[in-house]
Amino acid sequence: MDDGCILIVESDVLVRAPLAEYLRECGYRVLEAAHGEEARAILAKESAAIDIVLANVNAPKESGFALANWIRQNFSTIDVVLAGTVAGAVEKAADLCEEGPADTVPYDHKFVHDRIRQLLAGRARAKAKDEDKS
Amino acid sequence: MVPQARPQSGELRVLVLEDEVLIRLAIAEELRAQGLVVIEAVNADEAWSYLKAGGHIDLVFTDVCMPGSMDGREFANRVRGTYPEIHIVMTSGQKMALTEEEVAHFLPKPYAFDQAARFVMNILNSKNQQTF
Repeated sequence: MDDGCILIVESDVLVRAPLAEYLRECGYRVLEAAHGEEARAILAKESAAIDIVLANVNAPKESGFALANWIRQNFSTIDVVLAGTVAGAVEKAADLCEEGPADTVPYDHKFVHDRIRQLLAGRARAKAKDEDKS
Repeated sequence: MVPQARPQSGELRVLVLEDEVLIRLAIAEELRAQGLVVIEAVNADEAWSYLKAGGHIDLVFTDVCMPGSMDGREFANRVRGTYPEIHIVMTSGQKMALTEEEVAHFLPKPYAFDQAARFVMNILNSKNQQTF
């Protein structure tokens, strides 16, 4: 059973693959993109299914910031979590992402899982509120 | 970060190399639906770095035509030479001369994803039968 759908955008296979495997074991559907261009292609096809995008700020082809900005403009219902190591970059990202950047690379898998659970719980609460209103 | 080197009991692991992201996503999910653990790589360089890092893999499923320092066929030859226990499935939309060994494990493109998954499962099942 899928408890939510996460898109990981990470260029390093030795980081991306173990994190994706861990999150799948936690019950999530996990999609993988190596860079922003792949992420855009996946989002164009699967945006309705995706709850959270987890992207590395320091991606080689396109920064996580640019991708996050594009996602906010085109898919406002999707939460974005940026991960990075540069403090200034993290501060800047707070302007772009509703939840702000939280993670550092390399990822602490349990920390990422906790963060995803928090975000999904928040989304479920917001959805329930919307349903109550209508 | 170290990939999982020692699989859980009975777990079969497939490394999918495909540079077309939507094809990779679809075949990877189809294989996961069969109960396999699937590692995704966008090119042979990524896949090789995963194997060299100690990631356990039972079968490599690779497109032949890929960008990067080597194509899928060169990658397959390298894997055969270094990890002879790993089964290899090659796929391509181009006609190509295949060796006897390659013919049995070649899947022409375009392929139906369920058909490709069955193809992989048959190879893995025959491997398991040989083991016992």
